[in-house]
Amino acid sequence: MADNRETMAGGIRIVARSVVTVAAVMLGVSIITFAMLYLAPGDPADILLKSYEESAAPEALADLKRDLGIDRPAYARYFTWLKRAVVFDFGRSFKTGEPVKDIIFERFPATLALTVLTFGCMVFASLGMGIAGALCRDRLPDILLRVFSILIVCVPVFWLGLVLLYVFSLKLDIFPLLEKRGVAHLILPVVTLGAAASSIYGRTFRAVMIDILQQDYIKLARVKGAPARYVVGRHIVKNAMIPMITLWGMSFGGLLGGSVIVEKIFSWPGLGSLALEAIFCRDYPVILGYVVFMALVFVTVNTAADGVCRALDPRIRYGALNRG
Amino acid sequence: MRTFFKNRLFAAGALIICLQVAVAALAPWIMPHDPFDINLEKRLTAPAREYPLGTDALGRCVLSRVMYATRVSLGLSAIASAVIVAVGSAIGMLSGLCGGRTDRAIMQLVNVMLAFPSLILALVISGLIGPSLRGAVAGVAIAGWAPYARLVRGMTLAAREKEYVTAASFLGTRGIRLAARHIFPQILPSLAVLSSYEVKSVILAISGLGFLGLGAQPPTPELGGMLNEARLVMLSAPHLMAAPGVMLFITVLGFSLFGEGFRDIFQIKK
Repeated sequence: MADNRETMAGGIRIVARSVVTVAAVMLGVSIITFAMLYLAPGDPADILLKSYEESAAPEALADLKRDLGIDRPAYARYFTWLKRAVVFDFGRSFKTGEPVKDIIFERFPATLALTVLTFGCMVFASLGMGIAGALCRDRLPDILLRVFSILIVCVPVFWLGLVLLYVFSLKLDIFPLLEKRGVAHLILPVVTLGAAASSIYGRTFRAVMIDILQQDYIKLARVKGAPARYVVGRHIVKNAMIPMITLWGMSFGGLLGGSVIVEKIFSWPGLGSLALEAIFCRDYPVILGYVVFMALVFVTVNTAADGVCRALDPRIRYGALNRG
Repeated sequence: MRTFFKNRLFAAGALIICLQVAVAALAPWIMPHDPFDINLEKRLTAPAREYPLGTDALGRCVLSRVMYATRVSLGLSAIASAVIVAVGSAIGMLSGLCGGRTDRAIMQLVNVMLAFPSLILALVISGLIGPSLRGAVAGVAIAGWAPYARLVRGMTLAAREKEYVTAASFLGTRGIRLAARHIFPQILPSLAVLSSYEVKSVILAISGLGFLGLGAQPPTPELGGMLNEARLVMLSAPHLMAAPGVMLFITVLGFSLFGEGFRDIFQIKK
């Protein structure tokens, strides 16, 4: 009973600490993002006016600057922006006048579906490759896997995407381009986005497993006659997962970044294609909202991965309890 | 030197890199045609005698363009990697050696920088600067220095623990001298391995930006940008996707093998 209560208190403390960490990092992120915008060449008011008419009259420019609030000093603007950004109010798009929040929430589900599905497939693929590689160490399957993963990591994601699109959508017609969107349509994007990450983490997982295979407790488990499947599943894979969870969490950033490229290739209507448009027409509120939102997703995933790691690993869990 | 080239990975990687650098350096002299020369009568032709890799949508020689693009891509990546390695090492060593408040402040900054998905940060920075060569290099460099600095800080901390470094600092060696004479030579091998991996991801990032339309602007060829152009005429001229893609793949493979080999060599030495 007492132990149970203690674990729960520890759990709450871990969650609370994670929330504080996320908030602190996001504060830094907001400062840097805002500074980037501030330091960027070109005046937003000028750009906004020029998108309506060819030459901007000085009075109109001054009026607009006052309306946008950019005649005030940078720190004052930052605090106004921050106050709104806390409740996801990133202002309105320069181009369409729609609230940035609505645009982001409309497009985000598509990106989320792509990245989360890729993430899941990547985790399973790297587990499979790692286990196969470690158990067949230095035999043919392992060598083939190693060569394959060294090669696939060097293939640029956009090239892989184009080739897959050409072969499977245009030539073989397995995933036709102009059909209704569904899960089947995610297969090529997921393979494109996940191939490199899967082989990177497959190799890492293999290395971690080989390390564990040489530990004494594995020998003990074998000597006492535990079935091989049990030893692998219970003693090796479970323990090897712990360092992997943090790494997988960090890989999410790569997937979010890569989604911009993959969405462009497969015309997937997610946030990435939106951000690209916004960048080319300098739609500052959309760009800002996009960057901050992506950073928030990434930091949250990372912190969650850390939390899972703590919850699963008694060494870290009790370490945290004793220190706290 | 012989130990280096006995390692097959290292030798293969070095060979590939040398070839690529040779193509990039000699491009203006070995290109069969002018890469900017438009020939509207011969658009999207298949590989033939006159144009060994065919022509693109504007009738420009693909082989010449790939050679020139390799020059552009490698040049940009070299500059961006140099900036990342220099800035990252300097900041990492500073953080590791100063310790205390400086160290904490720098690590806070690094943590915040790591909160951005790096390609997105690079994309936005180069977009804000404006689609250009300068923008791409700046974007990739600003997005890339932080993880590097963190790794270098870790190496510096480990190097500081060595007895002879402690001895040197007891004898009064401080600051830049301690860093240059005792810390830097110690972490140099790991730094070199790290840098060759860095070049690899910088090449992918720069060409990724090029593919998205940031980076080299038309008519200047760049490997990522060429693939984007090939995308538009994929149905009528699929062969246009091959050359820039293969070139990128080989380049990245070269740096990757080089790095792997390098790492093996220094692990054996330890």
